Amino acid sequence: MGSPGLGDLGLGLGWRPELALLIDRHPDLGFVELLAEGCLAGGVPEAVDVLRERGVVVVPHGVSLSLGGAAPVDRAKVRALARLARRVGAPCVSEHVAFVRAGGLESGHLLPVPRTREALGVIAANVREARAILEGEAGVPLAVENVAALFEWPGAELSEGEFLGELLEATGARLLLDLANLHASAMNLGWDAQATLDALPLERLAYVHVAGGVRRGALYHDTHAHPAPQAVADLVEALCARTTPPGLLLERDDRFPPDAELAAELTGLARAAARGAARREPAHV
Amino acid sequence: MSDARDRLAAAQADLLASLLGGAPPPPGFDASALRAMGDVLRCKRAREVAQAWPRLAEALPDFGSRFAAFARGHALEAGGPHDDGQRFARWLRDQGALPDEGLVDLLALEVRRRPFAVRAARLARGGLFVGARLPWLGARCWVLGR
Repeated sequence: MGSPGLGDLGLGLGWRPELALLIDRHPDLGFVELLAEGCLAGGVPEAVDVLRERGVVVVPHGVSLSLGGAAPVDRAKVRALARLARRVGAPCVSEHVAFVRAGGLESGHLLPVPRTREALGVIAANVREARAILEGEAGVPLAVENVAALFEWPGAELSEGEFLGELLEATGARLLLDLANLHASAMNLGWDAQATLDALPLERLAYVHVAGGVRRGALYHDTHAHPAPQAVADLVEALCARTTPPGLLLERDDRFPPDAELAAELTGLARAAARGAARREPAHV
Repeated sequence: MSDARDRLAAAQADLLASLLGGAPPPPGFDASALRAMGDVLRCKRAREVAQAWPRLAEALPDFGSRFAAFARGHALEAGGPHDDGQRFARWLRDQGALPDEGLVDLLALEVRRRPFAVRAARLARGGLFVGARLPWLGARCWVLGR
């Protein structure tokens, strides 16, 4: 296995029961991502253990820690994540720079955080604490992911790239760079996606997400239910022209297409990575 | 909690209350973007419950409006769409509006919650659902007399 332009993790797909057969049969997948909350409740699917026996790497991915929120870190939840990481021999665990609860209410969705230095301080403390538990109990690093936004907080003191960069610097965490989320936020909020890439500490990349979405009216929705648009493939190419990401993982959560279609989408993204790598200066290859 | 945490907590609570409860947006936010975000949260909650309880969603002809009515009065709790769907099913049952497919799934879940449990209910289309969980039996469910 090995994909030009990508590192040791290679190409990946988010593990979902609906995709189990495709994932099992695909000859070139280097890693899968496991939704942590489902496994913490119901155990690790047997099909995932079969993948591990073949050498496919498994990364637990959480959505409910609310590291971007104001509440102190739920230590029991992070410990459970650490146990899951040990159980599947994971090289890292990933979560989000987002909040999902506040004032006794649950959002059910990853919401963006204020990009102020004051909020950064709180969130960095949360990320440091979660990281310490994961490294202490499972020896795994924590990667944090940027989220897609339909809105942003007023009074931003930092750009997305600056905020993420300072957060990673302050915490020592790795970066799960979601190019689909970057595309969505750039479309909705008028950011320059390439400038954001330039501002990010790409040497801290753990791996990369890509996914599809759809325009509805004036807004782009990161649905994970549609093919990844060309603009996201272009960002894959642009990223791989700057660095070699350890891995590239496609997320699909809904409206599952025929296996051949999803496999072709993966191939297209692998080609975008290879094109990017080919553009890099010879001295960096 | 520190002052910074308190301020972040208050700001996020205000925003979330606005997104979920329809209160005016906090100052400085793009109102139409927040309205769109509120719609996304509501649609996502309903969609995920329908995915977690597919037989109930299919059997309930007005699932969308019924769930919207439930959601307006019952804030999402921590625990995921399956638990949310279970609360929705119980709410429908309290109104006598839970179709058989949802009733059977709900009772089967309730039977599993305690070491000793027995549940029985007449089904709308005829027959009796019986579920039991006993230490020597495990959890078993039957539909009798159809």
